[in-house]
Amino acid sequence: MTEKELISKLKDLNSIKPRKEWVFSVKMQILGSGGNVVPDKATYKERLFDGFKSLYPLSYQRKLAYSFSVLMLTFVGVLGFAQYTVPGDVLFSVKKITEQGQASLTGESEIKASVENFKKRSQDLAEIVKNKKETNIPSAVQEVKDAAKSLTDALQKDPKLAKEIALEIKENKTFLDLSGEANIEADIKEASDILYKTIDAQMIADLEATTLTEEQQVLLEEIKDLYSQDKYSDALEKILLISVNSEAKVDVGSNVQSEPENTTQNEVKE
Amino acid sequence: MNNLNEQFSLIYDQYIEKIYRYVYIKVNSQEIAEDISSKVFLKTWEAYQKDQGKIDNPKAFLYQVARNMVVDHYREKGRTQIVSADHIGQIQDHKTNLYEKAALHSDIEVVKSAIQNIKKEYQDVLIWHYLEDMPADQIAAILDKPTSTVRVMIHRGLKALKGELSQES
Repeated sequence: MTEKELISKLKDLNSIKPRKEWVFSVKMQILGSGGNVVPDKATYKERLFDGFKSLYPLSYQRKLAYSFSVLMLTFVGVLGFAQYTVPGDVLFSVKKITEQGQASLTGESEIKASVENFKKRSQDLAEIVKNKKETNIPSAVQEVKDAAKSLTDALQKDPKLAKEIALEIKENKTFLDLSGEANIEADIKEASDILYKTIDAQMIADLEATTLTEEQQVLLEEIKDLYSQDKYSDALEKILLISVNSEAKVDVGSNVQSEPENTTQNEVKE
Repeated sequence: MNNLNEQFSLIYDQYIEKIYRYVYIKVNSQEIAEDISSKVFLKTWEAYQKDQGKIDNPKAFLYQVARNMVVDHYREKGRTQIVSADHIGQIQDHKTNLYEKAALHSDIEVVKSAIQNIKKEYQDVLIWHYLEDMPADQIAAILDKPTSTVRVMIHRGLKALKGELSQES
């Protein structure tokens, strides 16, 4: 064999080429993820080691599950604890978010949610005053004012609900009771006045449009006087008095009317 | 980072076949050749990232890493090939298989087997010079030897290979 033939045979070794899929996969492993991936292990020993390494994600998943459980328990704990907070506390915002979430889940209307919010904030304020948490009072008063404002806004959008709101507020004595507290009365007077004024104006208009007894007419005049003197809270109490009395009379009236029908029915039966 | 990736991608495409071929001829096993070649490129990539792509001669660097890894491979295995059962058919003993290969008239297999029976330093210079068309001075840079020494090694390598082939035939 000549040297030329030998070199020619040597050059024939250039036909040795790697598998295309291997070339591609190694490139992907090295460059595909920023070069942080270890390439294929060829030996059984290394593959066995890889097998054990593949079990690692299981322990990782377990750790993840524990972490998630702890997170959930903490979350539930925070939510539960937040229910006992009052305005001015750190977690009070969590309580408000929870309440808003509950309201949206139960499909409460805006006006209903506003009334509920007003009642709750009033109760919070009452609790703070009762427990003499003076540092919380400014926040609580602000919350009540905000609630009153949003309720007023909702009422202006739908004046027909004035009576319903008036009754709700009457049932929730807290706010009215609080108005007697000297140190907070000035703060909330403005907000409550606006709310009461809105309710009063709508209710007076309603009463004027309905047929009233002489006694109720007198009462309506007194209400108008109180309204003109900016005594909206007193005016509201009297409005509610008329409303409750008139409802009671209507109830009685409906019972009286139903009696003859029953009699007639009895006669027919006989 | 992306620029480095692109640069190394070009180097990879340019040399993967050459490095694989060099390693394959030296270890005579597809599985081991793939393993070592991938490690060569991974190690080079790590060095490339570390030096921010400032490897002066990637070709020389790759061959140097490949050469060292092949040496490490034989040192670890004591020249004993360990391959998976899937590749049992590909086990090729340097000397005992020569007869079968000759019977199959496979010149490539004969040359490949013959080259594996000559000295390691001759294997390197013959592969680089005749297969990869690398001039003597480049080989000298990889081996850190004078060019004249490399020329002598090429000459002696060819002679050794010729002797090996005539012995086999």
